[in-house]
Amino acid sequence: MKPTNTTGTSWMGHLNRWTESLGRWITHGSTTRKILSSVLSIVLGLLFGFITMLIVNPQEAVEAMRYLLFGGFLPNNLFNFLFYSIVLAAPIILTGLSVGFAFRTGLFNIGASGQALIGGFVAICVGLLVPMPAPWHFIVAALSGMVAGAIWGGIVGLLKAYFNINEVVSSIMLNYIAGYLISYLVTTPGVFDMNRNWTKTLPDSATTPTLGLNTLWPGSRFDISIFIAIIVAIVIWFVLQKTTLGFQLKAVGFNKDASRASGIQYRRNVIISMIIAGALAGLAGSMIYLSPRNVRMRTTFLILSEGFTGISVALLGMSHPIGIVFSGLFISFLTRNGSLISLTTIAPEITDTVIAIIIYFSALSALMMDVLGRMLARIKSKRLQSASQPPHQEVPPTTGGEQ
Amino acid sequence: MDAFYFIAQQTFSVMVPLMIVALGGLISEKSGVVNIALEGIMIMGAFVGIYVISLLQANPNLSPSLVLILGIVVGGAVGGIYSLLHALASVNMKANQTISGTALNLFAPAFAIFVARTTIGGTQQIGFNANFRISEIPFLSQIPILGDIFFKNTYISFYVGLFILLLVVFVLHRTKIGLRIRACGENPHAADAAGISIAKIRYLGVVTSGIFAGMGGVILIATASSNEFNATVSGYGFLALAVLIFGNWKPGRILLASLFFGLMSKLSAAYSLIPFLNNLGLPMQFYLMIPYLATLVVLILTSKNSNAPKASGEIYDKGKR
Repeated sequence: MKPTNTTGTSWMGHLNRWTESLGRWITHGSTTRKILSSVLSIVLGLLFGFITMLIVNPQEAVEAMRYLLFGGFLPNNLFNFLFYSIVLAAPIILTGLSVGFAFRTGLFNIGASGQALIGGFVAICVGLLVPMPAPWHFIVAALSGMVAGAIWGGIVGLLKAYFNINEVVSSIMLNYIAGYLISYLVTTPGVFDMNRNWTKTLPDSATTPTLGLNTLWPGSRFDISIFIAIIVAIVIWFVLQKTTLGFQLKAVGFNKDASRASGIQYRRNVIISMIIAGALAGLAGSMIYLSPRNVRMRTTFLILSEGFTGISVALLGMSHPIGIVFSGLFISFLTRNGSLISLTTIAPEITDTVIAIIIYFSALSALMMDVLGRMLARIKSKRLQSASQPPHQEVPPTTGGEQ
Repeated sequence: MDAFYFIAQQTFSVMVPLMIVALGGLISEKSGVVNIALEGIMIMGAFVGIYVISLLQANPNLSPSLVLILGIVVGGAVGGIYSLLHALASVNMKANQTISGTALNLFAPAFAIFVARTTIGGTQQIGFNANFRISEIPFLSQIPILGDIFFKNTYISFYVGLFILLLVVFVLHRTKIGLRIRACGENPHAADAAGISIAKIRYLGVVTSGIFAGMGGVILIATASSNEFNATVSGYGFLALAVLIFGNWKPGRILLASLFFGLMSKLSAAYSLIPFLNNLGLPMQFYLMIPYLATLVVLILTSKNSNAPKASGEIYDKGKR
């Protein structure tokens, strides 16, 4: 193995150390406690959002909160909000998987926005410039977007592996570079519609197949992107959980020095991690821009919000692929319902505020898991006591008495 | 020569906020806490600071520089208070500092837009009158060359920035509290054994970085942008992190690094004034990319010799040796 300069003495060693600690942080604790602490974060986030709304507008706060939580369940909104939030969840599940996969391997991919933008643009180009028969056109376009995202993410991996540049800084820079690059490239002849000032309409062969899901109910905008996202989540779970590659990537994230000592190639794994993360974000970009809903690219500078929502999705889903599917659905649901808040005079941005608070509380999950663990132990001990009435105390008194 | 002075003055308007924010990040990291939330804190500080400025400007009797100073003070206070959330999470709650910082970054723009749209006028933009430029400072502006560069067409914030730089150098390297801050970032266990409260010093570090970031946010929006605040500081909080790294955690080099980034970012605005660059005929987007591309290139070229605090970013665990 080649000697590397990425240990303590080198200049970015410390910055890299704190992102590596992410991997350790994310993998400790039992599943039940993780889910419970996510649920607790959600409840606290919603509570704080409600209090904020009560402060700024006590008359309408209750109504706004009702929209946020139950708006999609109202009979009139069932299709447009509840089901539509499922459609809109696909891209953020994919960016969430991108961020979450990187987390698991000890990297913080804050650059999913740029990777998705590059991926989306390449997918549009293939869709418009390379004619192909129906099922293949979409597949090739989506995969090209994935490859483009993988390259954009791979740059971050290369910079980290060979120049020890912290991935947070480099991927933020690449987000901005991608934004300006695309705002220039989008005017490419053949792709750009000069009259409408946005990209041309994709041929039907290149858009995401609907398989008739768009005729389920009037105005249905369903396509198969959510199923693609779920299948990808299962694949990622399999790679992380059941393959040697996944084990090696996680080992590097968990303890770089120990994994290197056991013969795992650090540089190779960092690059592979970022390539996979970039590919997932690139696929998210494909799903955004190949949608049959005709989402266009414009010349305005753009940082795709899906990339940053992906961070929230990954953190709330505890970086577990299946958890990410659920947290992606939840955040999409919350965002879609949140748009109903504009029926009141309260601004719908309260939803983003609530999501940020949820993430803040999930950062405190180490402490919350402790508290939850103590609560669970207390419940268990009470149940034991009431069930068998033991002659002596079975559980140490500290678990019951304190706080 | 006039073009040179113009570019120098333009460069300073970006350099000063970047430097102040990077110095904030420096203090925080020296005390052992990585503050990735600089971007969000800048937004929060700028939001309240610029709003206060827009209110104060209703009174025409106040001098523009005084209004700017008041805005900066308010922004600093807000930044300090907001950063308490990061300190609470990373010092008391032993939370992951990256996630807590990310949460602060996500919260700030959402909250700023929410409050602006709900309570202030219904739009998310906050307009103000960008009239803070001081055309010349008496006597000092008469000095040849230096007078033209430093004392003409300048902002009061330029001198605030220089004062903060000197203050940081002095406090970090010449005072007891500075020694303690550095000890907490390098070897918290030794500092703890010497009777220093790690928690107190780290709170001090994070809150100072919050105050500086809040001030930097106001200065950036008031002097280096157009005349409205739109709930964003365009990634300058992250650029400040890059400046801190490029500056190798040393105040003097942070000054040079922020000067470099200031120049790079103003090239994108002023390239049409420089005949050579204008004749290249490159698309505008290329110049807009320059600060971010330059960051990457510079980081590639300087990827050796770290002066980073050793314990920065690690949760302090008393039992760990």
